[in-house]
Order: sequence, then C-alpha cells, then structure tokens
Amino acid sequence: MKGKIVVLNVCAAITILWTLFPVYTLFKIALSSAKGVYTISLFPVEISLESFDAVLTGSFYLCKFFWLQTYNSLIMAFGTVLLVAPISLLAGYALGKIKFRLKSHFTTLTMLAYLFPQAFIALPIYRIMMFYGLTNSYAGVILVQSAFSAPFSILLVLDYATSIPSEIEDAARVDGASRMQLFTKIFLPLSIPILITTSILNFLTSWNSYLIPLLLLHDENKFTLPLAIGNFFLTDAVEWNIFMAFGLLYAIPPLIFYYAFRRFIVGGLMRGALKF
Amino acid sequence: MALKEEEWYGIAFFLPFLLSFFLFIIYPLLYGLMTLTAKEVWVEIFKDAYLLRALLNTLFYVGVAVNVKMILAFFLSGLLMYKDDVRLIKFLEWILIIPWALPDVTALLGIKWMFNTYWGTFNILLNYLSLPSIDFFNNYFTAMFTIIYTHIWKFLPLWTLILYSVRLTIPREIYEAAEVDGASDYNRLRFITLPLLRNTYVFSTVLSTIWVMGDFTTPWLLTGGAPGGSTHVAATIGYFYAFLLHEMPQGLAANMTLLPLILFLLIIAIKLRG
Repeated sequence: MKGKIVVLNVCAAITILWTLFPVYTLFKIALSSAKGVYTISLFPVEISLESFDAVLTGSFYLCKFFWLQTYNSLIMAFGTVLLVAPISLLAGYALGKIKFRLKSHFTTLTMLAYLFPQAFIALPIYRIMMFYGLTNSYAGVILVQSAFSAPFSILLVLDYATSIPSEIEDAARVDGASRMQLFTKIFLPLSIPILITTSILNFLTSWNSYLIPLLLLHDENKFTLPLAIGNFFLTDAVEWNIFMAFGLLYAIPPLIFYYAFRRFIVGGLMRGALKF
Repeated sequence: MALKEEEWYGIAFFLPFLLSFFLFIIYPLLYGLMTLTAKEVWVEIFKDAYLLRALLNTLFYVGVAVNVKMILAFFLSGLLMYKDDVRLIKFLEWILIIPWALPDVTALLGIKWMFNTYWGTFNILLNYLSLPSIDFFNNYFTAMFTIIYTHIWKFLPLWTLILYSVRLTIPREIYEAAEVDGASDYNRLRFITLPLLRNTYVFSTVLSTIWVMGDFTTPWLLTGGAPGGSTHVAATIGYFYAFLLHEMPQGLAANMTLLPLILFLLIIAIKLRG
C-alpha cells in the first residue's frame, strides 16, 4: 500500500507540472520587464508590472484599442446571450414538453447542428454574410455566433424541461390554461436555473470565439480581444511581455466563471457529452 | 387541448431556431456546395501539394491527438479516484481545469513562447538538462508535435472529468466483491472498469474526432502552416487559399473537402447515442 501511495504521488506531481508549465510560462513572461523577456532563465528576471500598465493605459501601439476591444467583446458576448435565450427556451420547451409529429426529427436536427464543426463552412458563411451585407458589424457576428450556440442551449433546456414533472402542467391544463400560458406562467419561472447555465456557457463561447469574428470583422476598432491577440502572432514586434499581459487580462472573466460556476459548467458539458 | 393545436405550437416554438439555422448554416452550406460543382477548381487544388498535404496532416493530427488524449484521460480519471487518499491528487483536481478554462488564444500565447527556440521555457529546461535546443517551428515533425501537444494539454481536463464522472457511478461494492473473490488490480480494471467505461469512451472518441477536425485556432495561430505551408490541416487550408493566396473558389472547395467524412462521423455519433 505504501508503494502504491508513492506511485500515486509521483503521477500526480508529473500531471501538475505538465498542467502548470505553460501557465507558468505565461506569468513568467508577463511579469518580466522588456529586457527580462530576452534573458535565458526559467525564472522571471527584473519582475515588473510595466507590461500590464502598457495594456491598461494603451500606451503600446498594438494595445491602443484595448478598452474599445473589451467593449466590443462584451457587446458581442451579451448580444449572443440575449439572442440565444429566447430561441433556446422556446425550442427546448417545444422539444421537451409539446407532443408533435416533427419532434424527433427536430431533435436530431438540433443534435446535428450542435456537433457540426463551424470551420468547415467558414468560407461559405463569409460569402453569404457579404451577400447579406452583415460583415464588419456587431449584428453579423452575433447572428452567426447565436446560430452555432443555440443548439447546445436547446438540448440543455430540453433536458431540463423533460425533468419537470408533467403533473404541474396537467393541473394547470385542467384549469383551462392554454399552451402559451403554460409556457409563460409555469415553465418560464421554473427555467431560471437552466437559463443561468446556458447564459454563462454562451457568454464564454462568444468571449472565446476566434474564427467567426476573424472572418467577419475587418477594422481594428471593431475587433474583439481574441482578434487583437491573434495579430500578436503575426507581428514582428518583440514585446512579448505585453502580449502575455494582454492575454492574461483577457482570460480573467473565463477563469472567474469557470471557477465560480465549476459544477454548473462541468455538469452542463458532461451532460452534453454523455447524453446528447 | 386539441391535437392539431399542439402540432402548430410545436412548430411555432421551434421556428426561431429553424430560421437562424437556415439563414446562417444551411444556406451557406448549400451555397458552398453549389460552388463545388466547378470541375476545374478541383483539378487545380489537387494539382498543387497543399490540399493533399493538409488532408494527410489532419488524419495524423486527429489520429494521434485524440487517441493519446483519450488514453491519458482514462488513466488520469482513475488517478482522480484516489483524491481522498492522497492530498496531492486533491490539489491536482483543483488546478486540472486551468488549461481548459483559459481561452484558446491566451493558452496559445504561452505555448508559442514555451517552444521558442532561444528564449522558450521548454528549451531552457532542455538546456538545464544539457540537451540541445529544438527549433520547433522550423521542422515539420516538431511543428506538428506542438499542435498535437497543445490539443492534448488543453482538452485532457475535459475528457478526464467526463470519464471520471462515469467512474463515480460505478458502485464501490462491485470492486469490493471482486477483491474478496481474489481478483487482482489488473483483473478488476480488465473485467469491471473497462467494460463499464467502454460506451462513454467510444462515444467521446467519436465526438472528439469531429471537433478536433474542426479546430482552426490551434494550427492557425501556432504554426500558421510553417514551415513552408507543410503543417496546414483541413480546417485551415481553405482560409489559407482564400485570404493568403487570394483564391476564393479554391478556398471554398478546400474548406469543404472533408464534409463527407464529417457527415459520416456525425451519423455514427447520432447512432451511437441511440
């Protein structure tokens, strides 16, 4: 048994190092001074916060739109959340609680839409959005992002709606409630927990999204934060400490959400992988 | 409530999603498929080496990354089962989701620098061990390695937690009974854990395969095809044709080459789920 404990500790230690090494690299460089970045050492030299300062004050030329881009990212994330909420509540409720002939086809369709990787129709989407005249606008990104985010939310709402005992609706139905009243008076108040879960997930998906904004946005003042970071990979600028600081500041909301709503998110995604 | 009325409500409630699905997924898809009928585009993109190379790279990337990740996730989820006995594992469980919680682009910044030839932390580590630095992004195999590594690092936590949640549903009594009957550790793994995890494992592998094939961000930002356009994958090659070579028709065709395979995998996934 003692030997086993040692082996377990060694495995755990290796996994911890494996997990944290790239994260450590991020912090090490972000906390270095401009000169410290180009020093051969595993530990930060000349620790300074000048890189964070450069991002937050916009004094470095590649970060001058930091606050504007934060605003853009927030607009697009909240826009997606607000658009997906009614779509997914309605559709999820229909699939979970209403009996109609096309139901099973619609459920399969939703699952296909959920699993379909957006990268394989990225260019057709770009062409069609040009045709709609929706490139380089918040609305375009929000609409496409919502189309890809909705299926998973629908499946979560569907799952949730099925778990509500049908006796509740039956009782109201005896009292003469219409389908619309069942939805607004009974389901909507009960749906708050699932609405919170899907909203958090949609916010994060949109906040992290890179490909769709990359295709649809062209002007630097319309860019979201990930697009600005994507550009760091392409420049010849050498201020990697500032890039890392930018990346870490951008990562704060997802990290907070993931840790605060750990159970929700892991549970939600697991249900996605195991059940749908 | 009249049956007919229910039919209408069902469709009406589903309609907003259906509308967005058709406008932003199906219509582009059909438009893309229509452009694929131009034969000369196909002749052209299969004449140069980029597309074929990208397709082979995809198989290589997906084949290695998904399977290594799932095998590691299988063992790591087993390790997590001991979290109440070993304090270090408790800590591991707490930090495990960091790679997955980090946004793609932030994680990629760290990894890109980690593999930097001169100042990257990985090469400095090698130097400490008296090993020579590796010029990761200037060699096809090491560049592919960085992409595969990134995927495994980032998504190991998610699949570990999924397999872990299945392991938690296996009643302890089964293991205890097997132990009383004198089953060895190996036999308990072979005859209890493996059969009970099999379905989830297979389904997860199919899902993961679909999603990794569609991973644009990692290959695009990490290597961007370097060295010399040799590390493009199916998800990035269309973008490369369209915006770097400015050949939109070729880009559209290249972008959609893997659709039949994706469709096949989607059907398998839906069938497996039952």
